[in-house]
Amino acid sequence: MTAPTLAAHSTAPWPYQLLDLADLHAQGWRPTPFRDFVLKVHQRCNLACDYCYVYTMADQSWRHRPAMMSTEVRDAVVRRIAEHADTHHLAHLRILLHGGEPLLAGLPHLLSFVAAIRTALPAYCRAEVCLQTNGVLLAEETVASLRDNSIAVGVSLDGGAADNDRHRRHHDGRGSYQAVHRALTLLNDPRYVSAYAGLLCTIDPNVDPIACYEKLLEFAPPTIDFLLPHANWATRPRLARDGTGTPYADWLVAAFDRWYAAPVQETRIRLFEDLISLTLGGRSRSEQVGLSPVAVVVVETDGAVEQVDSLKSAYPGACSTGLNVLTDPFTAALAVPGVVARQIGREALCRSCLDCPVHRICGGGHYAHRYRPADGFRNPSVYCHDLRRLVDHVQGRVTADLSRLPAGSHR
Amino acid sequence: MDKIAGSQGSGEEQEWDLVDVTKLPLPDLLRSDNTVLANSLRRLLAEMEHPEEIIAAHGSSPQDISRH
Repeated sequence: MTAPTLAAHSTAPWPYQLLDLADLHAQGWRPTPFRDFVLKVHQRCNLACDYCYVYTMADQSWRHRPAMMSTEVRDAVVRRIAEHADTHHLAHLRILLHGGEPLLAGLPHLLSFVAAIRTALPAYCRAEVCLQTNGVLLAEETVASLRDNSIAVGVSLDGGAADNDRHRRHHDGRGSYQAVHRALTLLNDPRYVSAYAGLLCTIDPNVDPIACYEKLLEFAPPTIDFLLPHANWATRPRLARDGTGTPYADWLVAAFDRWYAAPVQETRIRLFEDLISLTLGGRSRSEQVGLSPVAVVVVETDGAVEQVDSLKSAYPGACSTGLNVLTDPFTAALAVPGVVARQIGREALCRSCLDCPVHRICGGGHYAHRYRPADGFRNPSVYCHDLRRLVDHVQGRVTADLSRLPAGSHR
Repeated sequence: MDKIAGSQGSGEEQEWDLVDVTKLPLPDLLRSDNTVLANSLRRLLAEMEHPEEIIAAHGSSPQDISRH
């Protein structure tokens, strides 16, 4: 088994030099097995979105990796996922076909890959498979095949034509909206709607949040994921020059109020649902907020086993574990400090976060957004002010509504 | 409800104004329209280890949880 290398992580003292794994184990902490397998089935993309963390931020490792997985790597992925399910007796796991643009790998390749994974899993383990795409290549035959093979489709869309095409463009500068519109029309067809997983929208504070949300609603998404653009203390968010404004919270609060006040729930918004759940004492289901252990692992086209790819926004090699499916089981990655740091809840938070009354709700925010070159990932989120305002707002709305109920009682 | 895995289950004092769902008028909420708040409570109950105990105490039925 290959020993994880720490060489790439010299710019992140925490967790790579300062997290005491032996002490954690001595205290009884045990890792959470991976349940989400993000498979980079194609390294390139047919779009050139200006905020993409894969191509425009710190880590440029895509340049040196093969465009697609070799047969040897693909077979190893199948074997390692089945091995992990068996080792940890997993009854359920999720496979996310990702890229780049995964449809560039070709549909026959994707279908045979998924079939091989499902066949290799233990009989008691069920795999939920999703493909995250920019939608440009979603022809009707493709959608029909994905539906027939129980592969759900998530599509990225940032609002209406003008707003979407400001960022999500082809390499020649053409916008992608019209192609995505066609894809979403197909996914709304009753014959194919069972394959429709939802929309992923990266927010831009220059866009009207209500208009954006209502445009997304026109495509009847079962779920919407609103994402903050990846940023950190070295690469600051746009429009947050002085660090005191909360343009992202302003945007999200407006969208939340529009969504929350609807007399009938119009769609699911994972970030908002997580915040409500956490306010009510429940758990989060995403890595954006809350302190639930992150159980996501990524496999690149060369077989490299990596941490969540959003870390590419931090520094070159930030995702690295030093492991590869050709030589290592996924379980080996559970001992990598960067993976452990995502599974220890409040132990991964800095002092100022622990002193904050809402830290169990925001969870310190997205891990990638905490990075500071001098000390690594044990910092408040670069979106801290925005998160606090959003959490306070959601908590205020929910508790006010509950307190107005006739027999409502909460402290 | 079941504790959240990892160090969240440390038993330490909750710092924020945590809502006690066991003291809410759940029958009214769960029978209400398909609102964000009602659906959030349904999901919360669905994630508990023994939601039927809370539901039964309020006179609701398990079907009320799975409406959404």
